[in-house]
Amino acid sequence: MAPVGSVLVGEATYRATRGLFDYQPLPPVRVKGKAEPLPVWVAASARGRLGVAVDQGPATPFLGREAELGQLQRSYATARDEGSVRLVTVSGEPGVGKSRLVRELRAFVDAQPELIAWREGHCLPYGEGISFWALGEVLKAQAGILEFDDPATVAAKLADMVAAVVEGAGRAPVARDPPGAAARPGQRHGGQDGHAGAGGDLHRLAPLP
Amino acid sequence: MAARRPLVLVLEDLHWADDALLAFVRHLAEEARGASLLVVATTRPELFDRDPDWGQGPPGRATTVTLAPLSDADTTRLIAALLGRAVARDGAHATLLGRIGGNPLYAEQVCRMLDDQGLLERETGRCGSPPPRRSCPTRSRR
Repeated sequence: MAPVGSVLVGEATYRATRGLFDYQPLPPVRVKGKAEPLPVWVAASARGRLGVAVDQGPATPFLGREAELGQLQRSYATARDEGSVRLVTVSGEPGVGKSRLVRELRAFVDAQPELIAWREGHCLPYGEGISFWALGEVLKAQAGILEFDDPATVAAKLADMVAAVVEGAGRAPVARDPPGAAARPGQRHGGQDGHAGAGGDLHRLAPLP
Repeated sequence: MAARRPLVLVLEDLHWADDALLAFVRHLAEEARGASLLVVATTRPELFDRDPDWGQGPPGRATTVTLAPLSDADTTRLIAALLGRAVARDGAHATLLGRIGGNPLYAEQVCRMLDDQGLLERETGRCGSPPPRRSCPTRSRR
């Protein structure tokens, strides 16, 4: 049916994820319990996500959220103008428009005259050791790490990123052992206090490239 | 240091974050200084069951935007935009509104199904029975 180790999907999965993966169609297959052969696709590759979700195609019209968008826009403007930090939590049931609201904010941010860095991370519902997966996505985007980079390349890019953004950092502060750790930034290193100075030391960061 | 570039950091689905990440984001909001940073965290309401104080402070630095279901008027505009026309006859519109419940994703799925399954007659504006509200968006093969 498909090469060993490949991922075969049916129509529902194909439709739901074709924006995220490139698929190749395969001949329909006969499946026990189904009268008709089922169309199947084999996943060829993940579409690169460099800190921003892949565009999901034509969007549903954006309606009825002007006040909420305005609140996000004002929070952005305040953070920008005051040089301060704002946290806005967007809460709602699945499908009610949270991600869409964020996309509208991005359009607003893109339209601003100033240069702005935009980074996205996604929390995952499963698995162990993925506490900081979302932040790992952010760092991968910042460092320009691609899904298919080998561990040595990942380590080098991470080192470059750290050297570029942290004043006074040398070229070699990035832990390279185990190399896989760099490829899976979501893995937990250190305890919950590992982040302790990270936020507070933001002022030491140089402007984002 | 010369110009500092503002950063917008989006964290999606924070209800799936574990305590360590929540602590990090909270720390960022409360303690970070000297940077233009907007953190936008999306979450389902269940986060507040786990952490009732989330997003409450510090005053001015942390706020919560709650997305309620769309009003009937906005849902009506959305349906019209999705279908390319209004559904106005035979109580179908009220049924649609009830099924959709102000949820744009449901609106999209219901309208797509109506379209796919030929339940909507665009010429006459008549509309067949919409599928159950939480039915799966899987489309029937043509």
